[in-house]
Amino acid sequence: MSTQSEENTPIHRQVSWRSPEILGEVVLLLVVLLLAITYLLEMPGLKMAGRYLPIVTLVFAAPFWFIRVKTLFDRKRLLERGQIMDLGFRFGGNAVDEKRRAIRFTSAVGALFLSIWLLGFHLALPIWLVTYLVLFAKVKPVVVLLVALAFEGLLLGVHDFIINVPWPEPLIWRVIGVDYLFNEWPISGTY
Amino acid sequence: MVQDHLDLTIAMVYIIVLANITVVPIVLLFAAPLTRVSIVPPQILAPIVIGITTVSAFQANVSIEDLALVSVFAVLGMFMKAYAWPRPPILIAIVLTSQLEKWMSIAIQTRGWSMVWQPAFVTILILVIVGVFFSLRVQSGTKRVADRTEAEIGGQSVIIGSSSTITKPPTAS
Repeated sequence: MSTQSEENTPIHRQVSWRSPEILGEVVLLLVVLLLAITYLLEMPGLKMAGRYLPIVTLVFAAPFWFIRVKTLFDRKRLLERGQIMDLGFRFGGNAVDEKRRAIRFTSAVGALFLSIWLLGFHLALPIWLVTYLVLFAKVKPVVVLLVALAFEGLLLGVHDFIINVPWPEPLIWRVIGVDYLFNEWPISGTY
Repeated sequence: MVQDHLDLTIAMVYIIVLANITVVPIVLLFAAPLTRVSIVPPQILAPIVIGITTVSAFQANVSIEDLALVSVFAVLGMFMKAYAWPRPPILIAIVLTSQLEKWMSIAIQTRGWSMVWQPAFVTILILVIVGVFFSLRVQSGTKRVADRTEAEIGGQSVIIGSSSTITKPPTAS
């Protein structure tokens, strides 16, 4: 059981620039700075009309960028004094769950793109949807099947039948030496 | 077109007018059911939206490399959300940049920088300033109420600026 004096003792800790509370903000500020530098480097090569928007953007954005940098230093100072306890890589709620969710989301999207590159849209997208909905959403199999069929219908009905999209050759199909079936699909370009 | 086929041009204009008149009631009819999309749990909505976004991103230029760009923006979006950076400005910027660049260039070439003293420009600027002012007031009011409520309910943390100490949560004895 803690005493009153313990409860009111100020907390001091060293907060590194590499800590999650700070690092993400630094990365975002660097991305914006990089954009500004790109503007400045590209501007001399542009005609006058093309320079208007970068100039206006830089003039308006620069003060906000410096304000944000100041806020970052303030936040680091407050974190070190223990005056902010609940910042970091968070979306609200439980921090551990949120990190797990962020990792799950990123890897799921990565897996989708990788499987599209390997298998092609027509196979990868429904398979990915089924996997995601079964593993993470715990949806009824019937609903999962309907969603997957709806996506397959979208690809075949709109993208093949109406638009006749030239799909890229997926890696697996190239390796086994077979043309991507859906580029030669009987309904492709029928409309 | 206008000189040789005026009848066709007029017909096209009327078609657009009729289409709008026809579509608005239909859209209004579906407005209420469509709002129910917002109550679909995110773990179900997210994969569906990601799937549609992926196909659309590819479809725009029929380029598989565009998916890499989608990944970059997805990660950027997550970072921005995590660190409370607003995401809508990026969307607005991407959608409106070409229009803005085109019309600003025309305006500057027509009137020079004196365009900033034109009544329309000044009116819009005043409206924006008023909008931002009220938005900030509402935000700060909401934050103040939230802070007060959290302090009253939890009796923990949330001490930014005013105090140099932390009140720990009540411990069970």
